[in-house]
Amino acid sequence: MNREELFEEIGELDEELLLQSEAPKKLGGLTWKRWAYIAACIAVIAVMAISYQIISNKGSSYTADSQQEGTSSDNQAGNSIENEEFVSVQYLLRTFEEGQESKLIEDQDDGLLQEGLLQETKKYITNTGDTQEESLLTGRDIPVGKHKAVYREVESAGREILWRSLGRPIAGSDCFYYVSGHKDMQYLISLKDDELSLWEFGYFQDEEYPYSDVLELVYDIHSADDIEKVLSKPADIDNSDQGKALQEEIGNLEITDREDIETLYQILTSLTCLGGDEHWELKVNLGDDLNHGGINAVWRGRYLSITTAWGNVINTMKYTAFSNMFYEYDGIVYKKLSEQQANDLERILQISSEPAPRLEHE
Amino acid sequence: MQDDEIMDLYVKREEAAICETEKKYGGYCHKVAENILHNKEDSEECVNDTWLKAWLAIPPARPTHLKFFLAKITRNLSFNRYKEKHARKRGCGEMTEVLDELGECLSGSSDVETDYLAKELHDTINNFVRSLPERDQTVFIRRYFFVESISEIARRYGLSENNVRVVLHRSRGKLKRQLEKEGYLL
Repeated sequence: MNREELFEEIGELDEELLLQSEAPKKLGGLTWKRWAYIAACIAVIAVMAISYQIISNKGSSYTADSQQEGTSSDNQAGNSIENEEFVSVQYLLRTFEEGQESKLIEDQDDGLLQEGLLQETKKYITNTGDTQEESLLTGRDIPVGKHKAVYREVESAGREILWRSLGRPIAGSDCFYYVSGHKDMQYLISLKDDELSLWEFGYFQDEEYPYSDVLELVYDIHSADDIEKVLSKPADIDNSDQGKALQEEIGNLEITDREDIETLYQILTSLTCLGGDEHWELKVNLGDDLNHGGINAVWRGRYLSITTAWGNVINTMKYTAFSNMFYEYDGIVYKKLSEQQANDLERILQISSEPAPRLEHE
Repeated sequence: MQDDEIMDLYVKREEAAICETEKKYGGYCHKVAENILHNKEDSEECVNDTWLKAWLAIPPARPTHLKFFLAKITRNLSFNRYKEKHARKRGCGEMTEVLDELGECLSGSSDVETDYLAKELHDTINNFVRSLPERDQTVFIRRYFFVESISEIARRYGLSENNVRVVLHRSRGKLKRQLEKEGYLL
């Protein structure tokens, strides 16, 4: 069968189907049935939460109400989150079955399907030998404040969990919703008719924008108080035996000192992002070279995981002391730090200006 | 005039049947043809041929929905005209895009002609379209039966163009899997 034949066969659709397609209706947004279902789910969750609080007498854990205190950012959707049960994002991110690990065996860009949509197929193999395939989409033009953003679909928990975690709708979008109880937009839930999926923020589509907009609009971080801790890991650019040994020697560093976090916050808010670019590696000097592979890049590079006060983890930021620049995957690059900022940052992250230890023995 | 009354004219072989059909559905059929051909003269010829075919078909046919009965005739005639023209030069407009999109449902399959029973494929496609959620079903039909543009569909139903593309992409994926499952694709 060829495509012309398929087109001709579609021409034989039953007339009742054609009639249904012509009935005047708006197909965007939620029907009253779905609103009723969501309202019922929220009511059940609210009753369960109240019962749990009465029984366990909990009072100090982080809630949506305390998240609102002391902040001045607008609720973009115009709806209140007071009736929403806070859902931890870790609960939504997909986990494999207990005892089952997975390994990525293939990651393929299927290419640009249409303007604004990119499909990526990932294949995983589990330790039981099963293969799984996930086709994930990248979406563009998602409204975030004054910006349009790229979000990537991520593997998530099942449909029922996403249903229960659906928050209020995002203003200006007909299918994206906050995660219940959240003001941040790091993760959004998409509801398209019966299909639910989880999406993670990628970047803004502007050529250049202040990272402070990302911190405030996407991550809902308005001060250093919104950051609980920062974990710094060595860059895993070189995974040879030597590279891994060096990574182990450097080790992970958990930063909880409030002054250091304040300094980090001030540096982050001063950053200017240069947007996605396929050739970002030409702008960022990571320090890897032909003679020493990625050893230098490991020695002077760090990957950061920023944990917010409400438990979200932002693990996209990477820093190289060779260029005094932050960067992310997908070609996102930030303007160079000032000398003072670089010195402060490298002190906090304990990046030495000395040559990498292995090189001394060559 | 009601459809029943128009069809009575066909049965009685009164030429007023054609006038009344053209008066009621001329614009509609013209739109169907124009979506495929993007050419006023060709569209007009196909619509005129539609009346002739309807005259020859009714009776014995007595369609439940005259409108869609005519739409199908116009669509077939227009597509045949499109193929004739496309054989001589590269096509343009919505029709080419629609065929490219449908080609995705068949991508990866062999070029070898497969014998299939038309009736079975007819049922498969109808059942597939019925299985789609309401919105996806509507968008699919507007695009692949009526060859409406993405922007037109988006405007008509209050959706964003991006939404329409995502819906169509996923529907094509489901159709491909259904065709593979039922053995239409090698």
